[in-house]
Amino acid sequence: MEVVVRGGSPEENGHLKKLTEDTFKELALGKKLERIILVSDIGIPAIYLGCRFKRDVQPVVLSDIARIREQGGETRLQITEERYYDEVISVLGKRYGVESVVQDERNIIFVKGIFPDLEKMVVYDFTEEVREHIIDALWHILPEGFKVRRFVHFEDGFVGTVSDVPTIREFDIQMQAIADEMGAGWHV
Amino acid sequence: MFKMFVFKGGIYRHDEIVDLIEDLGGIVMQKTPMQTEVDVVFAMPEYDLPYLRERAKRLKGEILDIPFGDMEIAIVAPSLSRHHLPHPVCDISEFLRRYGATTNIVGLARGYGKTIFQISDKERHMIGEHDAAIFSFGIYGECILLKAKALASFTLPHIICGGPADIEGVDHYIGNMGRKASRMRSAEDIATLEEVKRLLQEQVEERRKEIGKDPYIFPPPYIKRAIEDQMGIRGSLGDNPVVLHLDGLRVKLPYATRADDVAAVTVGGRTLGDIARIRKSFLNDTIIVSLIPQSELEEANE
Repeated sequence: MEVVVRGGSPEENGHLKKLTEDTFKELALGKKLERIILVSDIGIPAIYLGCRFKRDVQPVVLSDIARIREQGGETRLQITEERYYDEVISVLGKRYGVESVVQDERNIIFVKGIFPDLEKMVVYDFTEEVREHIIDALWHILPEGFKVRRFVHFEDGFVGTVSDVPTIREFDIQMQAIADEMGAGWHV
Repeated sequence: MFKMFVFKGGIYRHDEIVDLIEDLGGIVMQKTPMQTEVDVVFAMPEYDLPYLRERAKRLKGEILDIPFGDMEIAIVAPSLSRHHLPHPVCDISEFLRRYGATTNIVGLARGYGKTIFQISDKERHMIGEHDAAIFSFGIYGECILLKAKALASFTLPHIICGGPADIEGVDHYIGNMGRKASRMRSAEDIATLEEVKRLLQEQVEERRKEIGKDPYIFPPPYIKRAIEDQMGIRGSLGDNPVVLHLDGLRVKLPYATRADDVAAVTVGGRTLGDIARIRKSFLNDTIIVSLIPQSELEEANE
């Protein structure tokens, strides 16, 4: 995880950087992040933030945790990760109807019908959880009393502005600058 | 003026120390036996201390100074949110308690932010009831400067803590504190906490000297004992029903029903109502006893 802090004095930036690193380290979220940019403008006062997840933070799809094949006009799933049994049955039941899903054995599930797109079905969206935890950690780091004025989510990250003054145009300009710096083609 | 000390030694013959403290005009505040060891917290004038130290040494014990033993200190956080608690506010509080202080953590209703910061009149009174205050702020110098200006009217010994090592125009300031994600236990952090203690002690000594120039007719530890004896208040290790202040006491009893009883306590032939101002505290429903200096009492008598 790379933490970039600027805008304040070197000492203030150093403090905020240490606080950010310590907080994410303590919550074991550092490994999930590629880069965090925090830009403070204490004159306004506002803090602009940008955060990009690592590429390995991807949702768990069915092909990651199951062997899928056709059997007598039905789809047979052999789940390889025990902790996802309930989740798979629940997701399949929601999508194809509870009556179409049969748990034949502990780790064998049959779905009535053939579905070519089954492999890509999202079983567990880990990115959402990571995103939530990162945002929660950021509220701990950012100054108290600063309200979220702008927040834009992207597939692999987000940018935002927190401030204790109402929204001004400067916020958008700074957020776009951070989005450009992230190099992910984000447009605010 | 009375100061607070603690005797740490064995149970065997510790009663000799207790007797000697009382013979020398001191007051035993608390005695905590722990298996074969005992801690005796006591108050006495400093000039008799060398003799007591010598006796303690003979009994293989020691006498330690607890500079904040007769003080109630407010540790003020901008709010009681996770941004400021438990670190560093609780770390400061815990550190000062090692030196005998009774600490109260005060969270301001709106002590955070730059443009929205404010401290209400009630909060000022609440903090002003304490003997000293430590304000813990964030990491931005500009914000701390604004907040320090709002605190300029505080006359009690106080310290402002924040992130930057030094901020021009802020008195009694200690840096390298700011906001912390973990407990202050590194060597640098301990040194910072020691600095807080040193600076606070410096200011408190000044305050003690001021009180010494026009002392109270009875020292607060003496009145604490009279209140406890006459009102049947017995503290435990957990709570402290009568808290010492440099200029009086806080009695943790409801003002409406027990203020008259406190005023009726007799000390040296005079009632407490004659030698002290008794009022309701802004902090919960407790009673504040502020002793009247000797000169003021004499003036009133004339």
